[in-house]
Amino acid sequence: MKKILFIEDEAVLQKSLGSLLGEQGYEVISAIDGESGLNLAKAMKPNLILLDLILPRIHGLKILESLKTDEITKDIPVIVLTNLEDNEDIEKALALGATTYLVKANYNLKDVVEKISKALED
Amino acid sequence: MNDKDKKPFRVFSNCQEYSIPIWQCPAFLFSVMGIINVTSCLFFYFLGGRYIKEPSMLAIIILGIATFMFFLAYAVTRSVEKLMEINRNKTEFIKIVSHQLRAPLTNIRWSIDFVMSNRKGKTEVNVEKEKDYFELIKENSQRLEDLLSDLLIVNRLNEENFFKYKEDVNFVDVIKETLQDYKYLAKASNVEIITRVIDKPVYVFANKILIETAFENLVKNSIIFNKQGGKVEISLFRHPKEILVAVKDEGPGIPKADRKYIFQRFFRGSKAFHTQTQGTGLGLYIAKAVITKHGGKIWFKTKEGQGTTFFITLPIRKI
Repeated sequence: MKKILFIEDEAVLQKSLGSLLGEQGYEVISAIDGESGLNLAKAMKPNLILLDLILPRIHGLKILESLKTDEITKDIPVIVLTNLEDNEDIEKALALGATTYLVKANYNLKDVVEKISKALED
Repeated sequence: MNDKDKKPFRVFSNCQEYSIPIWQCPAFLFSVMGIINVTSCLFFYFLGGRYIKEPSMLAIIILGIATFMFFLAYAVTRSVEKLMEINRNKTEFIKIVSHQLRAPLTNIRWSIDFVMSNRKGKTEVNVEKEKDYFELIKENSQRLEDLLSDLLIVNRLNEENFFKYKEDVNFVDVIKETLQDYKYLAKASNVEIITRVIDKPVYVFANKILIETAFENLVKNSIIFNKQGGKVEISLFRHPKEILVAVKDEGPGIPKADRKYIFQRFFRGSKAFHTQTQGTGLGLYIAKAVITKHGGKIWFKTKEGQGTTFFITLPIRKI
């Protein structure tokens, strides 16, 4: 079973997206902040990481940087899932090594699940 | 530029519109510069004839006027910079507001998506499974409502009329009413509220709704940012000329790096906004603006890991 780490502090998004991904046969593990997200990423080595940018205490881009500079986690694909739509944020995230940058407000829950499934197939 | 986009050159109304003082308004300063330029040309014409045999005197006068013009041009540049900064702040404000509005809207939409997908192809509804999502929709609608109410207040904070309707307000009643409103939130958050308030009326001359909003914001923060099972202590002290109110929590305290941003809109400073996810981020900004406009002061003492105490003072109205 493929594992997805979902770093997101909004309970409702964790529940809704997490449940649908679970129904698709993925194991979803959630982290509500960057620090626990980083620890879980190292410990469980997921197949994919979903990362929000606005998180308590540490900004998502910092987490992305840490993930991509750590030997254990640097090859795990990261999808940024946020509501920030600034070009600056998008460029930074992609430059740091994010695979895809998705703006939550632009997608239905179903579309996001499809995109995640596709990323895991590739 | 389109003809419709051209703004007529009206010195005073334009300056009023920018909400900056007249001596910082480019339109006014440019007008003054123009008048001085024309006057100096005429002045030199007549002065030149008179002091033609004293070129050093003429040079000193020209130098004096040139220096004055230099300072005026500096003032114009600064005022243009100020306008640009106001514009930049507004752009940033809109960006943050858009994000703050988007987050609960996405939460609502995704919850509905989930419920719909859960019902697809089923004849019976799993009420228990959906219950949490309806709760979350309700919570996020409340979040939107809070944000919009705060935005409406923020939008009117600079209007003098907004603070015009004042009355004698018994602050003891403000505390009692606020506690009544927030007792459920405190219970739900497992936070105990203790009050140390004198049982005699203490009057301040204030806009009741705004002063209540300011105080409520402090109490709400002390509950939301408290530890599980923590306490909130509200004290009211009466001094000869003012009241002192303290709202103490047992939360995580405010990190050093965030302290200078605490009273800014959206708890700003790039770091603060990017990591702040609870509340509207406008509560303390509103509280400070309201308390200051009522002749009071607001400040805080905090220790990381131990909690924060917010203090406010307001002048007493003797009846």
